[in-house]
Amino acid sequence: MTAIARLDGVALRLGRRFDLAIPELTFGPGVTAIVGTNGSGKTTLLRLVATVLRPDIGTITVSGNDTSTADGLVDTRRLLGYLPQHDTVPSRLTVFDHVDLVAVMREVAHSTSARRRAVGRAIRAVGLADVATERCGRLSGGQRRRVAIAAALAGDPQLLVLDEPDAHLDDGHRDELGRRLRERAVTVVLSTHDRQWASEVADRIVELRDGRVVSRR
Amino acid sequence: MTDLLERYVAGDPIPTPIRRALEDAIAADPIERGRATEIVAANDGAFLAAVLDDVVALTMAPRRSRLERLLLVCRMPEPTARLVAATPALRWAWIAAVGVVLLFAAGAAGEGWRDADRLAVLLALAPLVPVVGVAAAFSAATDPTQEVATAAAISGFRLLMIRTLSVLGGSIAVTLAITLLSRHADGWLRVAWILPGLATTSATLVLATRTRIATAAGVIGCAWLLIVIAISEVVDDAVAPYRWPGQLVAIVVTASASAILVGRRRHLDRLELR
Amino acid sequence: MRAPDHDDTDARLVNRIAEGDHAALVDLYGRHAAWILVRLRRRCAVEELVDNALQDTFVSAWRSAPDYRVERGAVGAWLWTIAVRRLVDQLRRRAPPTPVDNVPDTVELPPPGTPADELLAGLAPDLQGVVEAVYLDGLTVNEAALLLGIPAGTVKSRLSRARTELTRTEWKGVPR
Repeated sequence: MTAIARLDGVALRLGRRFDLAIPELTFGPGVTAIVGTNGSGKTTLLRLVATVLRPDIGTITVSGNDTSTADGLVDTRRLLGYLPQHDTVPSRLTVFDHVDLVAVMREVAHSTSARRRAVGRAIRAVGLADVATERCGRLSGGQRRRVAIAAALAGDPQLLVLDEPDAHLDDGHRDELGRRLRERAVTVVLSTHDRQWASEVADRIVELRDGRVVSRR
Repeated sequence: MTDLLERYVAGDPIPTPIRRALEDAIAADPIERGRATEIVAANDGAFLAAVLDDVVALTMAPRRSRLERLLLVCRMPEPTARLVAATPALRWAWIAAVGVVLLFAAGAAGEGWRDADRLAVLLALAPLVPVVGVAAAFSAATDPTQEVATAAAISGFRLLMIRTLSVLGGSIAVTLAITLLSRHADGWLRVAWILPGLATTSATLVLATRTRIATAAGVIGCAWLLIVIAISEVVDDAVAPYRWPGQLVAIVVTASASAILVGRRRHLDRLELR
Repeated sequence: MRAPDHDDTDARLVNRIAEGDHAALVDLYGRHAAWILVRLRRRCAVEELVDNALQDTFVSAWRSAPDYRVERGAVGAWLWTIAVRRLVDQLRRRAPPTPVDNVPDTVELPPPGTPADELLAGLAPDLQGVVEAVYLDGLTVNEAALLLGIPAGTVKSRLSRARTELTRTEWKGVPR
């Protein structure tokens, strides 16, 4: 079971003109990479899919849930794991604590032990088991990125929205990440500046320019 | 040897000395171990993986903080307790800083300050403590997970309430400790700042739905101080703002602000880009 | 299960565990959990107790990794001493303690290096059980009683008979 995200007639104005306009776009199983220059709207699009922003017009549905309704929004968020573009990791918490807190907010599991198991698995999946009890402030930029990725992966959500997950990662970790994303067989929507990596990891590539989809392949 | 190994793993009866010798060999030799692992994993691989998940979860999870343990003892649901204890700004450093400021206000003074004036300063500052706390709890600088929290299933309103009540609880506890110890206040004056504190805090949150939390806190803080100073000057009574009329106003403000927040709670579910 | 990393020796893994490295714990588990599971199953027929003991073994290994000393023995043997004690703990919780008569709690161990089969061969099967539990696994008389599911007095009397048997062999250093 994997989530399908659909954008229908979506537009969002940020500033003085419509920044983003997507007449129709569907994200299905597998990895979709969003590429485009800075300011092309990649982050805005991902924020819309992640329900962080609400479109001014149009609807976004995820697995049949209308995200403009209160219930649809919550049900969608239960299926969702999101990685923002900026650094979201607080320095004073340990890796486990941060991923666990995000898991609490995401309502990942029904019991403490099940949640902790999910957190442990996610930390192992991103290769941070050796530093799980370190404070995040002591980690490198790439490690902090992976902590945030683990927070999105915990509980195996059906829809992963990742804004530049490869940022700060060295080649080895980036390739490992790509491998893990593909083997999960869920719906992954990610953005990246690295078109080479995009073609390696993605099943579909969507290119944005000035807030419009200019190609999909 | 492999045949013996298979019989061993399968649980077939084996004479004790032979079994023991085989077991010692397995414990000591990586190659024998590897073979044994292969055979076992064929049937029990998923079970072994599940136990590993439990072992990792049990050893990776850190010891809960004292506050968290206290909340759990008081029967708070575990996820809520985790969020309360993790509230940004519920840190000893911040609480200590607040304590120092208030103690200064309560105890220090220039020459010639009347007791009533010192009391007025204390009462004026106390309602600002939770305002600063709430600003710290929700500002992006101290809470980098904001965007992730928005995309999470927890309702924005619930998270707001948990954090606000945590900050209020901490602020009131610290401030109460200091005002109760202060020799300048007595009777009802010791707690006269609580309702104004609720008013300033709820007003800050309402304003924060329109502007950045830091700005909201600044505006409400200044407004509060101006109001207090103005009333005291006009009526020439340092504690005038805290008498019954003032308390009533505080209640009305708190109730209205809370109602507005409840009404706007759907807006808390999205990121407001300002 | 992921294939464990073969670059580090077991002892090195335990050192890393002592430093708080969970990846090392995962690797150690990958190497040793399977055989410990089987060995525990052969000592106790109750699945639930064995499963709990397996989990407890590695949680204990995590906690006591700082105490591990290479000079005292190989990692496998160290893990087994932990495992058998965790199994005894499970049995102690499950079974009511058998009435304990005046039984000495510890027994002197045979000299190090005595091969197990030399110790066990030639003993009657019921004696093999107590000798293995007390001399080879290092359990106390009461712990052996729990593991074998027999009264402590029976363990004691079987140990006496075993000692008698063993003195008849050439093996020196038999404890009183």
